[in-house]
Formats: sequence, C-alpha cells, structure tokens
Amino acid sequence: MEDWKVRESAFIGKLTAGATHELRNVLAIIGESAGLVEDILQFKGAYEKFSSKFVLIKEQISRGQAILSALNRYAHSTDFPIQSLDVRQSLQDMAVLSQRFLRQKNKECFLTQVDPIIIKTYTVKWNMVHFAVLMSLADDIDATEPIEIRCFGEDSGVAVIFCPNGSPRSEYPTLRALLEDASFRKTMALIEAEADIEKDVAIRTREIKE
Amino acid sequence: MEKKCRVLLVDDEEEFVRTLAERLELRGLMTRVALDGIEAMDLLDQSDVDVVVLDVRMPGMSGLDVLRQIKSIRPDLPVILLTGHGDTKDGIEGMRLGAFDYLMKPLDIDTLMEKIFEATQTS
Repeated sequence: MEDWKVRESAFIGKLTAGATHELRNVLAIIGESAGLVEDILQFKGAYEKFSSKFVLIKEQISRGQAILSALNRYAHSTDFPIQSLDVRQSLQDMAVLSQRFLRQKNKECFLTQVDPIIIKTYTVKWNMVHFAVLMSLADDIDATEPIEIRCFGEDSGVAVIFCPNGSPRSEYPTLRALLEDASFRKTMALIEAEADIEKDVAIRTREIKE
Repeated sequence: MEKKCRVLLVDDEEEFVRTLAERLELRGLMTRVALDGIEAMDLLDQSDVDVVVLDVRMPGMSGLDVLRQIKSIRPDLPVILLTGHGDTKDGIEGMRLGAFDYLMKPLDIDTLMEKIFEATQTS
C-alpha cells in the first residue's frame, strides 16, 4: 500500500509536491515569455520604456520560485517519517516560508553561520518545532528586531540558535508557553530535542538512531 | 558563411521550450524541439545536432534515461541538463553519466548561451 494513501501528512505532502512542481513550471513559462518580449523590444530599440517592468517581472519570478522550491522540499519531507535532513537547506527554506508570517509581525529573520549538516530525524516534526520556536520568539521580542539564526554541529547532533538582535531577554512568555505545552514537549522528545532559553534561544537535536 | 550552432531542446513543457527556442534563434542559433525522450532520439537520428539541452524531469522516459541513450550512441555530443531549483542530485548524477554541465531553472538566457558556446568549443 502506498504510504500517501494511508498517512495524512504523506497525502498532503504528495499533493503539495505535485502542485509546487507544476507552479514552478508556470513561473518558468512566464519568465521565458517575458524574456522573449524583452528580447524583441531590445532588438527593436524600444526596451528602455519597459525596462523597469521587466526587472520587476524577473524579481517576482525569482521570489515565486524560491517560495515554491522551499515548499516543495517541505512537501517531500513527508515522504518518510524518518529521513536524512539537510539542516542548512531546511533552515534556508524556513527563512523563506516564514517571511510572510514574520512580516505580519513587523519582523524578519536572517541566517548567518549555518554549517552544512545532515542528520537523520523525523523531518516534518523537526521543521515544525523550529518553525514554532521562531514564530513564538517573534511574538516575544520588540517590533523591528531582526532574528539572527545560526546553526552548527555538535556531538551526534545539531544546535540551532535563534538570536534576537539587541539584549538577550529573560522573559519569553509565548515561547515559554510553547515549551511547556504537553503536545509540543512530546514532539520535542520524539526528535530528541532540548531547548535552552536562558541566554539566546537554542534548540539542540540529537540524530535519531533507527 | 559561419555555420550556425544546432541545438536540440528537450522538455515536456511545450510553451516553455518553444519560447526558449525562439529566444535562442533570435540570438543566432538553430533549434529543434522535442517534447519527450522518444522524440528526442528520433530527431537525433534524423538530423545533425551540436549540443542538446535536456530537462531532467520528464514523464515517461526521464532526462537521465535520455542522457544514457544519447551517450551510448553519441558519446561526444555535449548535453546540458536543466534541473529544478534545489534538485542538485539529478544534476550531479547527470554529470556522473557524462553530461557537459547542468543549469537550474529558472534559466538565465545569457548563462545558457555561454554554456552552449563552451560546450561546442570542447566537443
């Protein structure tokens, strides 16, 4: 029996993976068509009048492709419950997919040191935990403070550090509520993750041994 | 008269590949278009081609299968793979199978032109 027919997350993942692939092709067609129009105008010497619009079209296509690529990878993370996870790629995708939500809170995040690390884990749960921590932290810090994300390998695992710029905070009410939630703690235990929020916000995950 | 470079474009997305063909022809290349692997192999049989630009993800015969077939009959024919953004595994596997290089979609036309030029210089 194919997994996606009986496991809900695999079902959503399969549909999302297919749709994002199709939408990437849509953007590719739009990009090539706009490029052809641009070429024709350039050859006819009428390009200047429209140049800013072509720049905008290319920027938006790149933006759309980045979002769809990230979502496509997230969708594939449901293919199997435990998989090898490219942590750097996953955090880059998280930064892309969280943009809208952070913007709504007047926040942004950016990745600084992110070492190339692969760990075996429950990929959907790992992504969900880190996304939830980022969103909760965004609720707890002052408006306009960008959140810096760093990641490095540790013994048999990985540490992801969320650093709000400015002074470290001792009170993170939303984040503390998240970390104390019974369901969330269960998920953290399953992916062998521990949180440390005394200074910066650190999530340390050990590799799952199957 | 300088011989025009002959490019075979293989991609199942017809609107994308035909528009790409037009853009390359505006830049002085001759193009042929195939929408799947079988059509690509037929065109290679019937006509001379200097370089192949080949999408990796196609229904039916995959781009990598097409690459294997091309390399079995025309080992010196350069093949440039097109992969989706983030699908580097296919690109790397393609290089192992003898592809000249791989480029990520969305394509930058100038980068593709440079790659085609490089490929025809080395073949």
